[in-house]
Amino acid sequence: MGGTHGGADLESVAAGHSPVHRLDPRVKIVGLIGLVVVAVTTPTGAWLVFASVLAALFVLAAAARLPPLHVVRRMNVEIPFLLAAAILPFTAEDGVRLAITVGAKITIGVLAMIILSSTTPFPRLLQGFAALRAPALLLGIVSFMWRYLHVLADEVARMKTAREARGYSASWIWQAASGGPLIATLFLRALGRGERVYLAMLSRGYAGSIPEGLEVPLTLRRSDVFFLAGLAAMLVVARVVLP
Amino acid sequence: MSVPPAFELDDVHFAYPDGHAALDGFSLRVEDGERVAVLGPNGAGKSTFCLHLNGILTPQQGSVRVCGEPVDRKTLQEVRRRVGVVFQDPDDMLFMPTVAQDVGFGPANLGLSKEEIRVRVEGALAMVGMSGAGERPPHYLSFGQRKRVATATVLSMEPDVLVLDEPSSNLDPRGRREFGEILGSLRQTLVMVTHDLPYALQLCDRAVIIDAGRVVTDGPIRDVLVDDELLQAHDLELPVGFHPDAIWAARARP
Repeated sequence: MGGTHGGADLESVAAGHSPVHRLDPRVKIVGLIGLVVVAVTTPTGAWLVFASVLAALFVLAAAARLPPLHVVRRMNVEIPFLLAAAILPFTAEDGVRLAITVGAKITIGVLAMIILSSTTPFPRLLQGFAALRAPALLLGIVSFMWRYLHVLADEVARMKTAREARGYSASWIWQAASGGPLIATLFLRALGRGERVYLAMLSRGYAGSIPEGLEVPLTLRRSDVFFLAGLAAMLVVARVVLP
Repeated sequence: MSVPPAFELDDVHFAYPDGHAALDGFSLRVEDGERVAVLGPNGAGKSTFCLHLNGILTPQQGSVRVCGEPVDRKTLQEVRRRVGVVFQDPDDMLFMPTVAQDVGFGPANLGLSKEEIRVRVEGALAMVGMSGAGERPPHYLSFGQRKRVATATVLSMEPDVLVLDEPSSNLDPRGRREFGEILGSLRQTLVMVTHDLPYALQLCDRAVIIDAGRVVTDGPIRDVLVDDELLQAHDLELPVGFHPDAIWAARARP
């Protein structure tokens, strides 16, 4: 029943084995967010900094043996932002430099997050954020969303199949009207599901908070320390010396 | 002192907010270690009965006792440990990111130590034949595997009573057989709410038919299932060409 929605692909890539996959999730989160912060705070036109940060990301992606097509496809999310930046040459002073700088910052941010999410299985990612003291409530919501997106996506796939089996094709404009009922049905099913999940939680002694410490504990290894130290040194040099 | 009954419902009445009386003078006593099939047409009150067993719903009139203790606010957590409910759809029960976290959810709520939780998780997964699946996310498992893991999430709390709502629904024949073998190997008091009469006959010794919110028949399962008139009166049917004695004979073999 697995379903062929977008998430499955990301998860099979994230379940890979490479030196980057094996890094502690906390180290990857801190390192890659640090890298994004450095890129974002770099002044306009500091091309050497952007180039070196991008190079670092390429090295990471290569070390993680990420399929290039997988990365490029996921880069799609930045297209609207790049389009917004493309207005800059016509509206701002020194707009071309500004537009390229903004484009570089967006690309670096997106690429860093792709590498993070493509080398860390989602449960480990949640665990990493929890260990870094991200709010438990927020992580709980994200965790449930991730779990039930899969269930809901399968339900949508089945409903679409059932619709097509009765002669529906999305090619006619008047047929778009049946998208509404589908969404409404999905909403009602999700509501019912939510109630049943809550009953199941109560049945197993849930008393208001998700218990902690159920994961396999994280351990910082020598390679993690090397990675973080190396990345930090590189970022400091890029941010302080190069501009 | 003798062992108290696994649970005992006495003249329980329960109506939903829309006024529908789901349980209407429901009385049932099940002894420790019994295996009971609860049968009945849709809307007879089967699910409402299940939710009374672990205190999710409480009777508006009458009483529920689990292992001799009345179910009330004070005993609620203990009752939920003693009575494990396996819901029909395993996706309702598997809400944590990984199998191991899900199976450990109940024990962690009981306040057990990390080491105890680990032992419980491994034990429960071994009981359902899913050892080694601990780090997998639930949606990577087949339906039959998820059903087994959902059962493990309850077994890890070491319940005295296991309540299963439609255990065989949506399982393929092999999954159905494997799940039946697991259920057969457990030592808990077993309550099985089902429409699958051959499955009930295979796994249970006693059958209870409920209709319109109360128990209408209670007896040895073979005697209940050979009574065609009785079954028909409550919208129950054996599969075409099926005779209860076929399974009864198969059960008797060692």
